[in-house]
Amino acid sequence: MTHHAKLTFKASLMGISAFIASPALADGTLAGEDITKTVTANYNIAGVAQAQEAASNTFYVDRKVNVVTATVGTSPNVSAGATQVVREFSITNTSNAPVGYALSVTQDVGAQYAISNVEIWIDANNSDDIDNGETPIAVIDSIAVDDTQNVKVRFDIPASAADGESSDIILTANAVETGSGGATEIVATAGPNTSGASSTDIETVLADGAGETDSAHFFSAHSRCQRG
Amino acid sequence: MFRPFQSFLAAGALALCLAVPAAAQTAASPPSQVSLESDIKLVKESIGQDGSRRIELVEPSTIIPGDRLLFGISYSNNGAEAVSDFELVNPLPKAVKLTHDADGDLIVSVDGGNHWGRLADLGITQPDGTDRPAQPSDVTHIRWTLAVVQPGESGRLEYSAIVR
Repeated sequence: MTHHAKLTFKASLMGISAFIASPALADGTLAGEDITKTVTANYNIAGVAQAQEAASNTFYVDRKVNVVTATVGTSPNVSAGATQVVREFSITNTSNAPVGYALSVTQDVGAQYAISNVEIWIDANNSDDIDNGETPIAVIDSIAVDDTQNVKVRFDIPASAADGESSDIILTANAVETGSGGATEIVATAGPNTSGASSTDIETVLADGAGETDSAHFFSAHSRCQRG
Repeated sequence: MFRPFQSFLAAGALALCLAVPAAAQTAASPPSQVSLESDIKLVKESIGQDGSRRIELVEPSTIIPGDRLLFGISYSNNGAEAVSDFELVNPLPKAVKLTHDADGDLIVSVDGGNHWGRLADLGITQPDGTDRPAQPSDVTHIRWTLAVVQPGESGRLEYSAIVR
């Protein structure tokens, strides 16, 4: 099962001094941005203007972590004993902050054969091969807000696979802190609403825990291609 | 170029205003003063055990895109004289947008406070020169104008916004 969701991030324009075309306000607030509400009051007493009164509040936007993965292209049938079968997936960061993703490949519980020699990599030259300096990866260190990173997965089909047997290939992208090399899983946090002066001031909400491996991960999303 | 669908100037327009008049003071008193308080509450929705929808207003701790906030302004005339032409202006923080169910009689601006009117009467000129109706997400400011606030009178104004 796949699903797609994409946030469109628009640049924010401040201080509108003249009526301008198209909405000037941003779409999608980044973690750490402030929500400062101000109100001013002007009034008269006996027809005489008085000094302006004002009041304000400030709160801060926390981090909402979410990801969408999807299959890319078709998934044609393969032959028993085939090696380095390639499938492609996309990973889109729909959070409001840069997020890293730890990647893993599994098969569905109903798989009728077990794949082997699984490797994940970013195919920069689109050769369907790990070449030209490319290396297998287990982590994408950081995907920017609303950016998508495609990865390819290759694996071997056992020679013992019988005609008509099938298996789903599941890519799981688990949110991890950027710069942690995949070592620090992102978890939900709670605390007072304070400024983002440090990373600990910004709380984290996991937007969507739905995924085939929810039980094994705090946060994950998956996609599958059939008949691998 | 700003092109409202029709010219409209609000005078003494009221929106979500709860007035609580009180008896005027008879003795001489110092010049009146108006106090303002601003607050933000998070609108928290839940489903009760009976399946009913419950809405709570809570102090914001965690705020994320998509959250619904209730912005409030409380005012009070603490002096002995009536206040007239009481005008409150609230620029919307850039991180939020007015909700689609906002009061249609709110007086708003979509151009940074240069022009005002009901949202339904305002338009946006697009890059190709065509006009489109202004949307709640275009609102930059909200304004309330009260003709008179009597001594001792207080009230509260509110509007809802969504975190972008």
